[in-house]
Amino acid sequence: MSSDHKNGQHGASIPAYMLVALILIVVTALEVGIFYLDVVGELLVIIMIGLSIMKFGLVVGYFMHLKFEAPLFTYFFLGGLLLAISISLAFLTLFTNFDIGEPNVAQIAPATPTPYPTPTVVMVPVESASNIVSEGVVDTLVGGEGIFVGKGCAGCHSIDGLDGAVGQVGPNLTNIGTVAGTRISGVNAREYIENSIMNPSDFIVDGFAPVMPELMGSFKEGEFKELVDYLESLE
Amino acid sequence: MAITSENQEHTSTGLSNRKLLMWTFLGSECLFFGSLIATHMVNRNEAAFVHGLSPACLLDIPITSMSTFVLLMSSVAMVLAVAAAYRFDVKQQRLWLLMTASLGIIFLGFQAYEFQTFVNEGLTIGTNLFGSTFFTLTGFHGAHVTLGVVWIFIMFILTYIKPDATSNPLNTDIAGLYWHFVDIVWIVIFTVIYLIGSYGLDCGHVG
Ligand code: HEC
Repeated sequence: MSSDHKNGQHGASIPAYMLVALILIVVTALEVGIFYLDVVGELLVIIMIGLSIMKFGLVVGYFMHLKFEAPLFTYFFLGGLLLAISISLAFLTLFTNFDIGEPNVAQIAPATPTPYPTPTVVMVPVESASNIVSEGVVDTLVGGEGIFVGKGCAGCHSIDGLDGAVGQVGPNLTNIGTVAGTRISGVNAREYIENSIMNPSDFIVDGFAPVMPELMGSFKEGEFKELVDYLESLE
Repeated sequence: MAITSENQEHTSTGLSNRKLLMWTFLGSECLFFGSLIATHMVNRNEAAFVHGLSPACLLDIPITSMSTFVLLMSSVAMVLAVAAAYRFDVKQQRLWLLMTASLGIIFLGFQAYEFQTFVNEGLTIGTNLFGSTFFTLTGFHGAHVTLGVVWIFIMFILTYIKPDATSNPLNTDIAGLYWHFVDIVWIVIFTVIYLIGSYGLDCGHVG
């Protein structure tokens, strides 16, 4: 067991502590830098975990001087730590397949939609709707239908005859081309549909919660028009 | 009378039982925080885009980087307090204990500010899964920090009113182990929850 008897304590000396502290600060700054510069793409998760393990090791090894202690302490601590890591990994594998950026596929298309006032339970994030597309369930859809499913509208709205459009959170849009013209007097079907998507909270259909998200920012050139054309054609 | 060195304890392992107990406890704490972190990672983005109450919309990386730095510095202060305790340098020990506790309080201030901001934005523990798992995890961490601050502050006071009890360096050492552990848990939370957990997720517009 190496020890620094000048300090009367097993472990590193004060300059060594300061060096460790400096490394910890630099590594933390590096993490934040990598996060903002966004230069590493998908590698980010691995790099971050690597750096974080390094910091963890430095604090435990030097600040908590585990490196200089009897191995029994390490066994007791590591036992808990490794068990914790395995349980967490098992949990993440079970529920996310490590698509940590995306929600669980099994949560798409809830079997029993819960009505308002707890609509959040059945909200299907748009990402999972795009999962459906990538999973090949509805990968044949193109044009307006494709956008409708791809943007996640289908997670909240049903359209009879459109695969994947089974959501119950918002109104059924099977005849929206007709219905839209009747919603607000003086507003024609096209304008109503456009505004429903641009400013979802302007007009709330009776019996529904004001939960439709504003998704305009995610549309690519031309997609919005294509989507509105499609909805208008549903008469 | 005051024990002057941990080596004077006689145990069947030849090691300090109290230290062994602390390390065992910290091992179990890994399980506690590990499950909370994993639960958060699985559930954090459910229904996130509704009303913008999602990790990507709310987590404030610059401010949290600062609070992370503060907690890191408190660990450095703790290391110095333990080193001073082993030198039986009571003045230095007091100084660094007080510094550790103060930095801990500043960290809690950051957390209170963060919680307040989230609540103002409409996110509470009952709003969605992000809120539930986030507040549970960081709340329990904050509770650990609070306990540590109280513990270290009491040690600081005791160096004045009951010097015998604090002259054994092992007491400071063990408080230090606990404090550093709370710091490494935050190291993991900051990386996993704040940096990885909000990376690549959009706020508001998803798709
Ligand atoms: C989070 C669930 C959700 C998502 C996702 C969603 N909507 Fe809605 N939508 C609703 C709800 C709830 C309503 C009814 C309340 C209202 O009028 O805002 C609604 C209303 C509408 C209406 C008016 C319907 C009527 O009968 O008057 C249209 C049109 C519409 N949505 C189109 C879309 C389109 C297009 C998308 C995809 C870009 C979409 N919605 C995505 C929940 C959603």
